[in-house]
Amino acid sequence: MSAAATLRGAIVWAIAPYAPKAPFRIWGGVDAPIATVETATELARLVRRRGLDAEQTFLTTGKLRPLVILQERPRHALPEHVALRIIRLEELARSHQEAIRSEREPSLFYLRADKAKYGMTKEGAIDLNAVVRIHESAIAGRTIGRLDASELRVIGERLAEHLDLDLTLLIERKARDMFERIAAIRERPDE
Amino acid sequence: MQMRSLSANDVRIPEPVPGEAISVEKYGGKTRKAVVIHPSDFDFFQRLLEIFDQTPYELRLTDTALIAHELGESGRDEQEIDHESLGLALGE
Repeated sequence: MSAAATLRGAIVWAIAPYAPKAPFRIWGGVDAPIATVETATELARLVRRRGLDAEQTFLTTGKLRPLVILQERPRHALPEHVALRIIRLEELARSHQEAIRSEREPSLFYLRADKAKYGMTKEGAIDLNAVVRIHESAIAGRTIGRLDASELRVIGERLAEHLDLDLTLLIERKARDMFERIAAIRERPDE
Repeated sequence: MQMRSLSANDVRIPEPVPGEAISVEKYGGKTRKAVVIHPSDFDFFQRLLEIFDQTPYELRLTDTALIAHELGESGRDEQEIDHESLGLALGE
Protein backbone atom coordinates (compact mmCIF):
# COMPACT_ATOMS: atom_id res chain seq x y z
CA MET A 1 0.00 0.00 0.00
CA SER A 2 1.46 3.36 -0.96
CA ALA A 3 1.85 6.08 1.62
CA ALA A 4 -0.63 8.23 -0.30
CA ALA A 5 -3.29 5.51 -0.05
CA THR A 6 -2.97 4.99 3.68
CA LEU A 7 -5.37 6.55 6.12
CA ARG A 8 -3.29 6.34 9.29
CA GLY A 9 -1.83 9.77 9.87
CA ALA A 10 -3.93 11.37 7.13
CA ILE A 11 -5.26 14.87 7.77
CA VAL A 12 -8.77 15.29 6.42
CA TRP A 13 -11.71 17.64 6.65
CA ALA A 14 -14.61 15.81 8.27
CA ILE A 15 -17.81 16.35 10.18
CA ALA A 16 -16.77 15.97 13.79
CA PRO A 17 -19.59 15.79 16.32
CA TYR A 18 -19.23 17.19 19.81
CA ALA A 19 -19.92 14.84 22.70
CA PRO A 20 -23.68 14.96 23.34
CA LYS A 21 -24.44 16.65 26.64
CA ALA A 22 -27.46 17.62 28.71
CA PRO A 23 -30.05 18.90 28.17
CA PHE A 24 -30.70 16.36 25.42
CA ARG A 25 -32.89 17.45 22.52
CA ILE A 26 -34.84 14.72 20.75
CA TRP A 27 -36.25 15.08 17.28
CA GLY A 28 -39.61 13.35 17.00
CA GLY A 29 -40.42 13.91 13.34
CA VAL A 30 -41.45 16.73 11.00
CA ASP A 31 -44.72 17.49 12.75
CA ALA A 32 -43.63 16.86 16.32
CA PRO A 33 -42.07 19.45 18.62
CA ILE A 34 -38.49 18.88 19.68
CA ALA A 35 -38.54 17.21 23.09
CA THR A 36 -36.03 18.09 25.76
CA VAL A 37 -34.82 15.65 28.39
CA GLU A 38 -32.83 17.29 31.15
CA THR A 39 -30.60 14.39 32.12
CA ALA A 40 -29.55 10.96 30.88
CA THR A 41 -31.05 9.49 34.06
CA GLU A 42 -34.40 11.06 33.21
CA LEU A 43 -34.24 9.47 29.75
CA ALA A 44 -33.36 6.11 31.35
CA ARG A 45 -36.45 6.39 33.59
CA LEU A 46 -38.63 7.15 30.57
CA VAL A 47 -37.25 4.09 28.81
CA ARG A 48 -37.68 1.86 31.86
CA ARG A 49 -41.05 3.05 33.11
CA ARG A 50 -42.86 4.45 30.11
CA GLY A 51 -41.53 2.24 27.37
CA LEU A 52 -39.74 5.00 25.46
CA ASP A 53 -37.49 3.57 22.75
CA ALA A 54 -33.86 3.70 23.87
CA GLU A 55 -32.86 4.76 20.36
CA GLN A 56 -33.77 8.33 19.56
CA THR A 57 -32.67 10.98 17.09
CA PHE A 58 -30.68 13.30 19.29
CA LEU A 59 -29.99 16.79 18.02
CA THR A 60 -26.31 17.31 18.62
CA THR A 61 -23.86 19.86 17.23
CA GLY A 62 -20.94 18.99 15.01
CA LYS A 63 -18.49 20.92 12.89
CA LEU A 64 -16.66 20.48 9.61
CA ARG A 65 -13.01 20.74 10.59
CA PRO A 66 -9.59 19.14 10.05
CA LEU A 67 -8.87 15.90 11.89
CA VAL A 68 -6.01 13.44 11.89
CA ILE A 69 -7.02 9.80 11.42
CA LEU A 70 -5.28 7.31 13.73
CA GLN A 71 -6.17 3.92 12.29
CA GLU A 72 -5.52 2.07 9.04
CA ARG A 73 -8.42 0.31 7.34
CA PRO A 74 -6.86 -1.78 4.53
CA ARG A 75 -9.85 -4.15 4.31
CA HIS A 76 -12.45 -1.39 4.54
CA ALA A 77 -14.25 -3.77 6.89
CA LEU A 78 -14.84 -1.07 9.50
CA PRO A 79 -16.22 2.20 8.16
CA GLU A 80 -15.69 4.12 11.41
CA HIS A 81 -12.37 5.77 12.17
CA VAL A 82 -10.85 7.00 15.40
CA ALA A 83 -9.41 10.46 14.91
CA LEU A 84 -8.10 13.45 16.83
CA ARG A 85 -9.40 16.96 16.45
CA ILE A 86 -7.07 19.66 15.17
CA ILE A 87 -7.66 23.02 16.80
CA ARG A 88 -6.54 26.47 15.73
CA LEU A 89 -4.47 28.63 18.05
CA GLU A 90 -5.65 32.14 17.21
CA GLU A 91 -8.24 32.42 20.00
CA LEU A 92 -5.79 31.40 22.70
CA ALA A 93 -3.84 33.94 24.75
CA ARG A 94 -0.37 34.68 23.41
CA SER A 95 1.32 32.86 26.32
CA HIS A 96 -0.70 29.70 25.64
CA GLN A 97 0.09 29.91 21.91
CA GLU A 98 3.78 30.25 22.67
CA ALA A 99 3.72 27.25 25.02
CA ILE A 100 2.22 25.12 22.23
CA ARG A 101 4.65 26.39 19.56
CA SER A 102 7.63 25.66 21.78
CA GLU A 103 6.31 22.11 22.35
CA ARG A 104 5.90 22.51 26.11
CA GLU A 105 2.34 21.15 25.96
CA PRO A 106 2.22 17.34 25.66
CA SER A 107 -1.57 17.46 25.16
CA LEU A 108 -1.28 19.71 22.10
CA PHE A 109 0.90 18.50 19.21
CA TYR A 110 1.90 21.62 17.27
CA LEU A 111 1.33 21.81 13.51
CA ARG A 112 2.91 24.80 11.81
CA ALA A 113 1.15 26.47 8.88
CA ASP A 114 2.53 24.18 6.19
CA LYS A 115 0.18 23.66 3.27
CA ALA A 116 2.44 21.15 1.56
CA LYS A 117 2.76 18.87 4.59
CA TYR A 118 -0.33 19.41 6.72
CA GLY A 119 -2.68 20.95 4.13
CA MET A 120 -3.42 23.95 6.31
CA THR A 121 -2.57 27.61 5.80
CA LYS A 122 -3.12 28.40 9.49
CA GLU A 123 -1.16 26.92 12.34
CA GLY A 124 -2.92 24.45 14.63
CA ALA A 125 -2.46 21.73 17.20
CA ILE A 126 -3.69 18.17 17.54
CA ASP A 127 -5.68 17.94 20.78
CA LEU A 128 -4.76 14.65 22.47
CA ASN A 129 -7.83 15.06 24.68
CA ALA A 130 -10.21 15.19 21.72
CA VAL A 131 -10.59 11.66 20.45
CA VAL A 132 -13.51 11.48 18.03
CA ARG A 133 -15.08 8.65 16.09
CA ILE A 134 -16.14 9.45 12.53
CA HIS A 135 -17.79 7.47 9.77
CA GLU A 136 -15.95 7.30 6.45
CA SER A 137 -18.89 9.06 4.81
CA ALA A 138 -18.25 12.04 7.12
CA ILE A 139 -14.91 12.73 5.42
CA ALA A 140 -15.09 15.63 2.96
CA GLY A 141 -13.10 15.34 -0.26
CA ARG A 142 -9.57 14.07 -0.26
CA THR A 143 -6.69 13.95 2.21
CA ILE A 144 -5.07 17.37 2.62
CA GLY A 145 -1.96 16.43 4.56
CA ARG A 146 -0.19 13.73 6.47
CA LEU A 147 1.81 13.14 9.63
CA ASP A 148 5.07 11.26 9.18
CA ALA A 149 6.00 8.04 11.01
CA SER A 150 7.95 9.75 13.78
CA GLU A 151 5.14 12.22 14.45
CA LEU A 152 2.65 9.37 14.64
CA ARG A 153 4.93 7.54 17.06
CA VAL A 154 4.97 10.55 19.38
CA ILE A 155 1.19 10.91 19.11
CA GLY A 156 0.75 7.20 19.89
CA GLU A 157 2.92 7.33 22.98
CA ARG A 158 1.24 10.46 24.30
CA LEU A 159 -2.23 9.15 23.50
CA ALA A 160 -1.66 5.98 25.53
CA GLU A 161 -0.86 8.21 28.50
CA HIS A 162 -3.78 10.57 27.92
CA LEU A 163 -6.21 7.65 27.75
CA ASP A 164 -4.76 6.14 30.95
CA LEU A 165 -4.09 2.91 29.06
CA ASP A 166 -2.11 0.33 31.02
CA LEU A 167 0.40 -1.09 28.54
CA THR A 168 2.52 -2.94 31.11
CA LEU A 169 1.74 -6.43 29.86
CA LEU A 170 2.03 -5.41 26.20
CA ILE A 171 5.45 -3.84 26.80
CA GLU A 172 6.58 -6.87 28.82
CA ARG A 173 5.50 -9.21 26.02
CA LYS A 174 7.18 -7.12 23.31
CA ALA A 175 10.38 -6.92 25.36
CA ARG A 176 10.32 -10.68 25.98
CA ASP A 177 9.79 -11.36 22.25
CA MET A 178 12.68 -9.05 21.40
CA PHE A 179 15.04 -10.72 23.89
CA GLU A 180 14.04 -14.15 22.57
CA ARG A 181 14.80 -13.04 19.00
CA ILE A 182 18.18 -11.66 20.09
CA ALA A 183 18.93 -14.92 21.94
CA ALA A 184 17.96 -16.95 18.86
CA ILE A 185 20.26 -14.87 16.66
CA ARG A 186 23.16 -15.34 19.12
CA GLU A 187 22.63 -19.11 19.10
CA ARG A 188 23.09 -19.11 15.29
CA PRO A 189 26.16 -16.91 14.86
CA ASP A 190 27.21 -18.47 11.52
CA GLU A 191 23.88 -17.96 9.71
CA MET B 1 8.28 2.28 45.90
CA GLN B 2 11.91 3.27 46.44
CA MET B 3 14.42 0.42 46.60
CA ARG B 4 17.47 0.19 48.86
CA SER B 5 19.88 -2.70 48.40
CA LEU B 6 21.88 -4.51 51.04
CA SER B 7 24.48 -7.20 50.60
CA ALA B 8 23.23 -10.62 51.74
CA ASN B 9 26.48 -10.90 53.74
CA ASP B 10 25.52 -7.86 55.85
CA VAL B 11 22.17 -9.14 57.11
CA ARG B 12 20.81 -12.32 58.57
CA ILE B 13 17.37 -13.17 57.25
CA PRO B 14 15.34 -16.38 56.96
CA GLU B 15 14.99 -18.02 53.55
CA PRO B 16 11.61 -17.09 52.07
CA VAL B 17 9.98 -19.40 49.54
CA PRO B 18 7.57 -18.28 46.80
CA GLY B 19 4.07 -17.77 48.16
CA GLU B 20 5.19 -17.29 51.75
CA ALA B 21 5.54 -14.06 53.74
CA ILE B 22 7.63 -14.16 56.93
CA SER B 23 6.60 -11.53 59.47
CA VAL B 24 9.55 -10.36 61.63
CA GLU B 25 8.00 -9.19 64.88
CA LYS B 26 9.04 -7.42 68.05
CA TYR B 27 7.52 -6.63 71.45
CA GLY B 28 6.08 -10.10 71.72
CA GLY B 29 4.39 -9.95 68.36
CA LYS B 30 2.67 -6.60 68.98
CA THR B 31 4.59 -4.81 66.24
CA ARG B 32 5.94 -5.91 62.89
CA LYS B 33 9.48 -4.83 62.09
CA ALA B 34 9.61 -6.25 58.57
CA VAL B 35 7.98 -8.74 56.25
CA VAL B 36 10.26 -10.95 54.19
CA ILE B 37 9.03 -12.33 50.88
CA HIS B 38 10.58 -14.15 47.98
CA PRO B 39 11.86 -11.87 45.13
CA SER B 40 9.39 -13.38 42.66
CA ASP B 41 6.50 -12.39 44.94
CA PHE B 42 7.99 -8.91 45.30
CA ASP B 43 8.18 -8.59 41.49
CA PHE B 44 4.53 -9.59 41.31
CA PHE B 45 3.55 -6.93 43.86
CA GLN B 46 5.56 -4.34 41.94
CA ARG B 47 3.62 -5.20 38.78
CA LEU B 48 0.35 -4.89 40.66
CA LEU B 49 1.44 -1.48 41.93
CA GLU B 50 2.13 -0.34 38.38
CA ILE B 51 -1.30 -1.52 37.30
CA PHE B 52 -3.33 -0.03 40.14
CA ASP B 53 -1.27 2.96 41.19
CA GLN B 54 -1.40 4.94 37.94
CA THR B 55 -2.07 8.61 38.35
CA PRO B 56 -4.88 9.64 35.98
CA TYR B 57 -3.49 11.83 33.19
CA GLU B 58 -6.20 14.40 33.81
CA LEU B 59 -4.35 15.44 36.97
CA ARG B 60 -1.39 16.46 34.78
CA LEU B 61 -3.34 18.61 32.32
CA THR B 62 -2.20 22.22 32.11
CA ASP B 63 -4.39 25.31 31.91
CA THR B 64 -3.36 25.68 28.26
CA ALA B 65 -4.52 22.14 27.48
CA LEU B 66 -7.85 22.65 29.23
CA ILE B 67 -8.57 26.04 27.61
CA ALA B 68 -7.58 24.80 24.15
CA HIS B 69 -9.75 21.72 24.56
CA GLU B 70 -12.75 23.75 25.70
CA LEU B 71 -12.38 26.08 22.70
CA GLY B 72 -12.19 23.12 20.33
CA GLU B 73 -15.11 21.30 21.93
CA SER B 74 -17.30 24.37 21.48
CA GLY B 75 -16.03 25.33 18.02
CA ARG B 76 -14.72 28.69 19.23
CA ASP B 77 -11.06 28.06 18.42
CA GLU B 78 -11.11 29.87 15.07
CA GLN B 79 -12.43 33.17 13.76
CA GLU B 80 -12.98 31.83 10.27
CA ILE B 81 -12.40 28.42 8.74
CA ASP B 82 -9.34 27.90 6.56
CA HIS B 83 -11.05 28.18 3.16
CA GLU B 84 -7.83 27.56 1.25
CA SER B 85 -7.33 24.29 3.11
CA LEU B 86 -10.93 23.26 2.52
CA GLY B 87 -10.46 24.04 -1.18
CA LEU B 88 -7.51 21.66 -1.19
CA ALA B 89 -9.78 18.86 0.09
CA LEU B 90 -12.27 19.62 -2.67
CA GLY B 91 -9.60 19.72 -5.37
CA GLU B 92 -10.22 23.39 -6.11
